[in-house]
Amino acid sequence: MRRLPRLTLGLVVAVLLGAPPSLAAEPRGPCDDRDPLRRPFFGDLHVHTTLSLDASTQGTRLRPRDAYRFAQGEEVGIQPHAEDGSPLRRLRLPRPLDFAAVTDHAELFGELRTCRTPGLPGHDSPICLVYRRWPRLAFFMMNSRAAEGEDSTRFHFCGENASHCLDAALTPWRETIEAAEEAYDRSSGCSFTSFIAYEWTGAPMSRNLHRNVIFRGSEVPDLPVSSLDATVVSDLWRQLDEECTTGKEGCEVLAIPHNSNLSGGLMFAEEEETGRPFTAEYVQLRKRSEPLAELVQHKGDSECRLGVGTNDELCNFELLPYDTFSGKFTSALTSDPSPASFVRNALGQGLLLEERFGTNPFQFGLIGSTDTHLGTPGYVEENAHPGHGGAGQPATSGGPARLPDDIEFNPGGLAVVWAEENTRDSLFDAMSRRETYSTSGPRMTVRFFGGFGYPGDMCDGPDFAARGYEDGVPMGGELVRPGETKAGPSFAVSALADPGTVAAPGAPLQRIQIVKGWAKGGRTQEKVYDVTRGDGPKLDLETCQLSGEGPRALCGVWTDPDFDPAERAFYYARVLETPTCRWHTWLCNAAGVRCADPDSVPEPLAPCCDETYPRALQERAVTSPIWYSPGG
Amino acid sequence: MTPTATCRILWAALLLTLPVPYWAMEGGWVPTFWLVELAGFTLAVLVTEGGSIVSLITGLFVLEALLATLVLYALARFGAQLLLRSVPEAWQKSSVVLMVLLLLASSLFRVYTTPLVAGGGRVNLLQLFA
Repeated sequence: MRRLPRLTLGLVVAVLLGAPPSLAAEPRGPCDDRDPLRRPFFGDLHVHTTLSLDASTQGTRLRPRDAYRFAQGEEVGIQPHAEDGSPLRRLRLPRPLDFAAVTDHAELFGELRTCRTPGLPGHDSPICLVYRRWPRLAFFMMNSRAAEGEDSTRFHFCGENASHCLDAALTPWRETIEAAEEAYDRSSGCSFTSFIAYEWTGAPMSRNLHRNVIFRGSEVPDLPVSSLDATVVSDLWRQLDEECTTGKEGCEVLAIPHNSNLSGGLMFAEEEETGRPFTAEYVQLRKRSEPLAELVQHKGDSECRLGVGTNDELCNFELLPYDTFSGKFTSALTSDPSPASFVRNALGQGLLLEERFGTNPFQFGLIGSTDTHLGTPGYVEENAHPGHGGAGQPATSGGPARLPDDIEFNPGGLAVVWAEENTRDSLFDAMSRRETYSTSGPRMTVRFFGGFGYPGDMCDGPDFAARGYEDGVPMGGELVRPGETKAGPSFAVSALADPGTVAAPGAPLQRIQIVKGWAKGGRTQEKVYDVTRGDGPKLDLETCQLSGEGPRALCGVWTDPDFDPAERAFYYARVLETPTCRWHTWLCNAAGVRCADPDSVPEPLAPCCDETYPRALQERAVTSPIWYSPGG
Repeated sequence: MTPTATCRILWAALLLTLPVPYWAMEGGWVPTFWLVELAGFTLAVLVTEGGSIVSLITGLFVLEALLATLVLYALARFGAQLLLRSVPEAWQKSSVVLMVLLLLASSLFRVYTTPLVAGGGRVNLLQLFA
């Protein structure tokens, strides 16, 4: 293709991209720094505050407003608290986020408020007494009671038809809405976007099927649809359709599944969790309702697992040693990991389902988030992990006495969205078209385009993004083969290292890979290709310092050498940083632990020397896939 | 002192102070009285609310509280017999008082641990029931 001047090409693409969003959340002016070629916005779409049972029972006192203040760079105090109520730890984000959504568990909104508010009917019930006396015991009892799948019912103290608890739930839901509305910067500065959101927390037999439900704008249902109202996932989508998409003007919503790694093979199974086989209506509903999936967070990575449908050694990253919630407490409840618990396998399975139904129910983009239960969105610092208190685990003061988190957990990731501007509409549109990627924490900037005919020297030109959009599709897109060309598609990937901060500069990049999955003869296959790589610095595990320089930017254009035009396929990019210290290595080093010297390892710090957990890790960004199908 | 009275006094002291292991989703070392208190509360929750995990937790607390109560009874009985046999009659009352005081004093050290109190850190009897 003949090269157009940069300005001309940019203008063409700007016009193409500059179409108004599909549905405006509200009238508002454009942002000062609107970029038609889009910018990466970093955020967290999975945040719990004291309104969630499991956060409140481990001492979290921050509320949604506090969480949004924190996301914008303000300092907050967190647990544990002194007897006078003052927090003993303080946290501040080294860099503010661009957007966030507080996603408290909707299931026990009313129950929790009842137990905490004297005078409300049910306040003196036995379960509320247990909640106030032994919150952690109440976590097990109330959470399990609310998550017993199709058998789940409201607590009896909620009164007839749960009327007391439903009334009580209005208050925390209103607080959630108001906090998001207040935090949203509607000025032309567009410094911060907040989404009204919550978490649907279905987990039949402790197998996780949780979804974060994110609303486009300020039009939302009167109460969130919880797993007590919609006990199976498809009912959640249908009720969201009824109460939002079709039932309320201006209301638009998407759901984001997370922690498929804890679903015991249920999240991406080829049948509903009830055992009902998929139908055409179901797969269409699923595709429409769930354009994204959360790949990485505090409770592990869900991309893939070595030995479970893959021999990719880089899949050994932040894996949990159990595959259901209850597996954490007893190994008897942990089974062999199922391929249906991992995103890469699901992407492959989706290709086969598309052949069967004409629709791919697993055609989702990828994000990361923290799942913090401290009310501290985006706090992903590996060198200062405060513990996120996931799954009801107490986040303690840590320090030299003990680790602040269970060794298998991690600081979580971030959601990155390519959008024209930092507004609800722009970000929501980007999420709907899957132009997103996941990072395990660092703020790497990753562009990923697929097309037929990208030039090999595309990385050298100043118009990488404009050309990427002009001649192909960005991450999350679907490739159309022009005519009957036999040539394989090309993929252009550009990555910039996280600049970090002055106090903690980001690590250099190590390599860019493209992961391809395809369907052939009713089976799925996969292959991982290195696109480009650089020599990185060496890591000193005793000091966690890097010595030497490494690439701050990598870029490459890769053409699929094994392309078969008749086979459905997906491609996504994975960008790896040079190895750096895992969170526990920072803390264990600071505590003076030397595993070769048992005297330096007090019992509470024994996890420091658990060799199951590597002392170093390779932080990464994983993009949403680009799909190719023979039919275009 | 009669053997029965000695046994009952020792039994009560052991129930209140001696750390015994327990497990109900998570575990620790706590006095039996504390287990009985938990069993009572969880039983009340089970009766009013139901739930399979609630049943499991309640069942574990009740069972473990009963088991600990029986084991400590046997221990108290054995201790009482030993004491009455080996200590002169004039000293028996003082010996029982001394044993109870020793048990109570030791309970003021941080010898108990449960994830349900103080984040799983070691606590003494007063902190446990606070």
